[in-house]
Amino acid sequence: MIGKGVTEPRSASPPSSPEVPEALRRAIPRIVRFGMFLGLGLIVLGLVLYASSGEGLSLTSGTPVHLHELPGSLRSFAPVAVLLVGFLVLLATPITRVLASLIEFESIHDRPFVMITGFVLVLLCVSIVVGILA
Amino acid sequence: DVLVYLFVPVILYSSFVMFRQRRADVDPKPRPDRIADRLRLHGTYPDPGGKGPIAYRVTGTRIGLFFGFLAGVSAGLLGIGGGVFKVPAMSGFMNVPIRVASATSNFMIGVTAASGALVYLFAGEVSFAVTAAVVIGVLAGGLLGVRVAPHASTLGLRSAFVAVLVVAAVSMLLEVTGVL
Repeated sequence: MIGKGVTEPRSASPPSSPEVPEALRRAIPRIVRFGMFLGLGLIVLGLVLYASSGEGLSLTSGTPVHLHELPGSLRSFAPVAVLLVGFLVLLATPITRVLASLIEFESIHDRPFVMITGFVLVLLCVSIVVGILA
Repeated sequence: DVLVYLFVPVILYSSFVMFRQRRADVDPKPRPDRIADRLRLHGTYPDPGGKGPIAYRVTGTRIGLFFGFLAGVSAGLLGIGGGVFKVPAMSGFMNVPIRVASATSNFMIGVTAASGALVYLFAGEVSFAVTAAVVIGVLAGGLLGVRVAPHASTLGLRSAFVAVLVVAAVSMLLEVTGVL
């Protein structure tokens, strides 16, 4: 992971460079683990709801996503909405990790890596927005 | 299809390079690399045997960039690419330890795949049932892999990866030639 490959030596090797705050360093793995288990839990819950509803879950066809319908279907515990939120949480987790890297590099004033990480994040957001609108 | 004939030799060659260096995970004195020095890409990682951190020096950033480009083209065209190009690039040519290479590659795939996956999800092109089943399997396997990795030998990991590469190359060829 980027955290292993890039940040550790950064805080270990150049003795003069500032260290990533301890609280931030502890929070990052927690956020990633939380996102993973929350997503997994929601997916399992969604499958259980499907099984108990007696509806068939189609193997082939996709379900078009309309975000404005999501709150309503979540309130009625529609299995498809629970699954969808699980997928969204899982997909948001690595993107959140990139955002955390940006904060991490900013906290040690590592300009080159702030620029690189910021560029990656902008690219990700642009490709998601353009892809969804298209 | 033409590209597959380019990808397959690259994959086979990098699996050969990884096989040749299967005993030495990292070269203690690799060729100096200006970009790697400038970006301070050298690092340490926890020794699986618990004997403190192991240091490594990154080299070959240009060849790494080239492999990254190949991975992107291949992923865009064939839907495969990621690890098949990135792990050998880092492990075989950039002097990155196999454990660091596979973890880094995994993370990069997560980030880059997430954006594409979101787009497909919103377009309604994702089968929820298949995704849910695969996600549960992959996460269970991933959690198991993370637990097993510290006990696996580096030689074993590298050999296993070489085997996976050869299988990937052969199945790509078979698919293109219409056998599969």
